[in-house]
Formats: sequence, structure tokens, C-alpha cells
Amino acid sequence: MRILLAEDDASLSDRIKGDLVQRGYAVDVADNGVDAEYLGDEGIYDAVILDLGLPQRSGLQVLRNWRGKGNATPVLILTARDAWHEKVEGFDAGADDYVAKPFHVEELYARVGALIRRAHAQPAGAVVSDGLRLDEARQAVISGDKTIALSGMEFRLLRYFMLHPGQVLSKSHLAEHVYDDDSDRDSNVIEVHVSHLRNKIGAALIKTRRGQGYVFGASG
Amino acid sequence: MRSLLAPLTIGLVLSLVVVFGVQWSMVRVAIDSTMQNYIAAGLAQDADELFSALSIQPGGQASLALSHFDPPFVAPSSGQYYQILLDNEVALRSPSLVYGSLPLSPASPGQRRVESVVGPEGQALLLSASGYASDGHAITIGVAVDLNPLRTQVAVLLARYTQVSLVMFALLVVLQIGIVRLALLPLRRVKADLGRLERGEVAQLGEAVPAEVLPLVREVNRLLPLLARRLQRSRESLGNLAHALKAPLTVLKHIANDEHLRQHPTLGTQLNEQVEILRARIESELRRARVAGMRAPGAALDLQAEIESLIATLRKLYRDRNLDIACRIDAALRFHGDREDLLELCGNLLDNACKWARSRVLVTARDEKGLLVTIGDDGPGCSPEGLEQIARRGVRLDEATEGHGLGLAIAAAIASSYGGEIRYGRSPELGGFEVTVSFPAA
Repeated sequence: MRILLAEDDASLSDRIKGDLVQRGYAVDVADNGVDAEYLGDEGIYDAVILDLGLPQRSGLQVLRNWRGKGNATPVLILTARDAWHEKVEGFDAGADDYVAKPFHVEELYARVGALIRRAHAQPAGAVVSDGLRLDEARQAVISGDKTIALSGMEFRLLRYFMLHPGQVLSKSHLAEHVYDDDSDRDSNVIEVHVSHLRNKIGAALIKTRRGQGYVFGASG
Repeated sequence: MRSLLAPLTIGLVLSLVVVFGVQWSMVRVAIDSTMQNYIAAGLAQDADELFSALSIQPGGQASLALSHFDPPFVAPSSGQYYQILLDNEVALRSPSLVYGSLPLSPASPGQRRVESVVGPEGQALLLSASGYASDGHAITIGVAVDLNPLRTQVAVLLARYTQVSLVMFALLVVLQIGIVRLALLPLRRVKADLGRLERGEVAQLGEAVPAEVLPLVREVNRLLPLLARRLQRSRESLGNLAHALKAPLTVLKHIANDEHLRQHPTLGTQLNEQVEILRARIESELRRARVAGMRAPGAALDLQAEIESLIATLRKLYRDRNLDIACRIDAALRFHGDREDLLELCGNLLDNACKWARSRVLVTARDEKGLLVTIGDDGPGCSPEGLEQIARRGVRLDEATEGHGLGLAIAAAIASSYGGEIRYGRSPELGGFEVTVSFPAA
């Protein structure tokens, strides 16, 4: 899962990014509205955390522009502006959730997780697919009564697979959603991680479509 | 407050009284003197006629050789008399005098006098005394007439004149008051405009007013956007302040939960506590400062639409709880005031209700001698002792913290800034907590 964090306060965005990376997300940071809008339109983000008080272009304007162009990426507004009329305005502009600063970190991450699950029509609580259940707190997967520990990259890949069951996912597409801009991307490394995942959860769940990519799920 | 209508009306009525009074007395004097002059002229002519008919015998006997006497001179006490003095002695008297006489003093020849005298029977007479000379005798002829019958006629005439004058006076007063009211009509229009402005039906006062009032209207129109801009600016700077303060607070909060601090749990707890105190303080001060209250010229807000937009927001914020948030508001209801205040007031109350509700929240509003908004839930509600305590002490803003009545305190502060009040109780329909906000009638 790749998240765009649009926040101009560097000390805050560093911390949020650190936390999110720790929770298995790939995170890019934009510190102004113009960059944020441009990045958000790349179509590679699974969610956006958007500050309203961005320099150059306000967060609200960025959000309106995205929605005007049909960009439906889930957006969580993270702002110091917590008056009710601002919340109403934020949701009217197309936000999916609203968290006021200062916030409890756990609440923010729970809401980001819920936002992404909801975007993939997942029930509240945990990501569940094909007999597997993700334990996001421990970055592990539960299969039946067995808890399987995952490496950071395996967790990222599996979460993405489980949220997109039955879809053909190319290596470069997967790389786009598990690495941030700062990482060295090598789609061959994806192959290595996928084969590790197959060893842990069973080869049948991740099929290879030659020349196209991978498909997750028993039906795929 | 001083009315413009009263002094104008009083002034006009008083000046009309003076004008009519002066005119009335002038007319009265004019009629009186004209009548006297006319009568005096007649009397002088009578005297001349008498003189021409007068003959004096060598023995000093005077006699009148008149072919025809005016009958009134003959009829006793007719009110028309003559008396002739010959060398200061009464020589002849009209038969109408019977035994009486006129208080006639001699007049030198050529002299003619008019005076008011009392007649033999006590009547008020107008006496004309004319002096003549004939054959070395000094002759004075006095002719008098009773004024009473004429005075009666003049009185009747004056009474009629007074009646007409009074009617004219009344008509003029009514007309003047009408003119004054008509002239002040634009002021009433301005007043009505001000009322509409207050209710938010218009944004500016109409400038189709008389030149005398226009500067005032223009000044008000100039001040209105100034006031709105000032509120806007102060809210903007509050927003910027919030932004500037809350980002570092968030970082601090984050640091307090940092892994490195886990080894010093008391340090982390203390840091958390202090940050929380700071946050609560900033929150309550900023939120209170944002309230516009009745300072700002408000608009007439569609209450139903505004509440619905809030409910849509709350449904998204509490999406996971699947709350049934219902709204029963007449579409015609309007809230006269600032939109941000209304949303803040109802948003805080709705948020509180959503926090405590099991599954249902209900918003109603009606007009009952002022706007009445109730927000109830089906949560655990508040114990009677708790309600009593809130009712007695109110929710104090400085004591309230997030989740412990800050929302209620903000709502109460906003309501009171509009002269309204908040009551807490039990929802009769849902059984949980219910807040009732009542605004005074506009």
C-alpha cells in the first residue's frame, strides 16, 4: 500500500512517515499543494493523508481538483482546522475521513487502515481474503489457527494481494505500490519476495500469469 | 428616544394656532371698525339733514321743518335718537327719546365727533355730534343709534367665521401631519430595511432614500462589509494560530509516545499530561474566540439544509458505528445568525450525541416563540443528579476537556452569545441524553 502524505511541517511528516513505514506502508511526502496535486494524480497511491494548510495551494483546493478530474483515491484530511464548518466543507469537497490535530497516533493509523480496507470493500477490523487474515499490528498472517510471521516486504506484498484478489498485478505495478519514490526499485526483487510468500502461505494462492504478472486467490 | 414626528407636528400646530388667532382678531377688529365708520357716516348725514331742516326764530326758538321724519326717530325708545343744542342749551329732542336725553356735549362749529355713550335706557349707543353755526348761534346736533341689533348680527357673522376657521384649522393640521408622515416615510423604509438586514434577508441597506438620510445609510453600508471583513480576518488569524500551534503539539504528543521514552514511563506520562493540558487550553480558547455571536450581521440560514450537511459529515465520521441519525426539521425554518456559529453549535451537540448513542440520534427543530432545537440520543443518558449538577453549575468552559463536556460548553457559549440558552434532560422519544437549545424570538 502506498500512501501520499501531504504535510508541510517537516518534523511532523517525518514522524508520521516513520510510523507508517513501520506499519508496512510505502510513503511519499509532498510539502506543498502543487506537488501534492501532481503526485496524487499519478494514480499510484492507495490513500492520501492531506493537510489543509498547505503552502502554494490549499489542501481543500487540491482535493476539489482531484475529485473534479475523477480521481477517487481515498483521502483523509489531517488538519489543525477543526471547526465544524471546516469539516462539513472537507467532506463536501470529497474527503473520506477527517482527523483533527493534535491527534492520537493510533487513531490516525487505525483510520488510515480503515480507509484503505473500505476502499476495497473489506469489513471493518482486519483484511480477510481466501482463508487468510492479516494481523496488521504484528505484521503477520493467520491461516486457520496458524500464525505465520512475515518480513516487512512480504507483509506489504501480501496486503496488496489480499486487497486485490483475482486481479492481474504486474511486477512493476506491485513495485509501485510497495516502494516509495526514494527506494531502489527492482522488479526482480519482487519475484524473490513472491516466492518467499508462496513458501509461507502456499503456492496455490499466488499464481503466475506469464508475461502479465501475478493473480492472488483461489479463484484466480 | 426622541421622535421627529412629535416636535414637527407640535410646531406646525402651534404656528397654525398663531396664524389663525392673529387673522381672527384682525378680522374682528376690521368688521367692528368698518361697521362703526359706516354707521357714523349715516349718522353724520342724518345730522346734516336735520340741520338743513332747522330754523331758528328771532326769539331763539328752534323748530324743525321736516316734511317727513324717519319713523324710528318718532317711535319711543326705538334706538334711534337726535338731540339739538342751541347755544349749549337743549333745544330739540327726537320724540323717540320721550323724556330722556343724550349725554351730548357741545361741539364747536365744523367739528364732528363720534363717541360711544350710554343711552337713556342703558343701551350702548354710537353718538355722532356735529357742530354748526347759524345766524350767530352755535348749534350742536347729536344723532345716536343703538348698536346692539347690529352687534348681534356681527356676532352671528363672527361665529360663522370662527366655525369655518376651526374647520379649516383642523383640516390643515390633518394635512400637515400627513405631509410630515409622508416626509418621514423614507425613514420607515430604512427602519424596515434595517430589520431585514438583521434577519439576514438583505446584505445592504437600500440607497433610494432622501438626500438627508443618504449619508447615514451609506455609512452603515460601508461599515457592514468592514465588520464582516474584520470577523473574517480574526477567524483567519485564529485558524493560522491553530495551525501553527497544533503541528508542534502533534509532534510533542508523538514524542511522548516514542519508543525511546518507553524506558522512562513517568517521563512519557508527564509529557503526555502537559501536552494534553496545553491542547485543551488552546482548544477552548480558540473555539471560544471563533464565536461571532450577534456582533456579525447574519444571514437567514436554511436550518434543515445546514443540519443535513452536518449529519452527512457525522455519518462519515461515525461510519463504522452505523448510526441512525434522523432529522425532523420544517424546511421553512430559518436561523438568523452566523453560519459557522450554527454549525459549531449543532456540530458539537451532534458529535456528543453520536459519541454516546447506541444506535439512534434525533434532531428536531420548531418555532415556539423563538427557535427551539433539540438533539437527543438513545445512549445511557445522564443521571438525575448529574443533570441537576449541570443545571446548577452549568458546564464551565475552563473546566471542560475534550470528551468531558467541552463540546457542551462551547455550544452553551454560542447559544448565550445569541441570547439563547441550553437545557439538558432526557429524550422522551429515545430515552437517552437530550439537549434543548432555545433562541429568543427575532
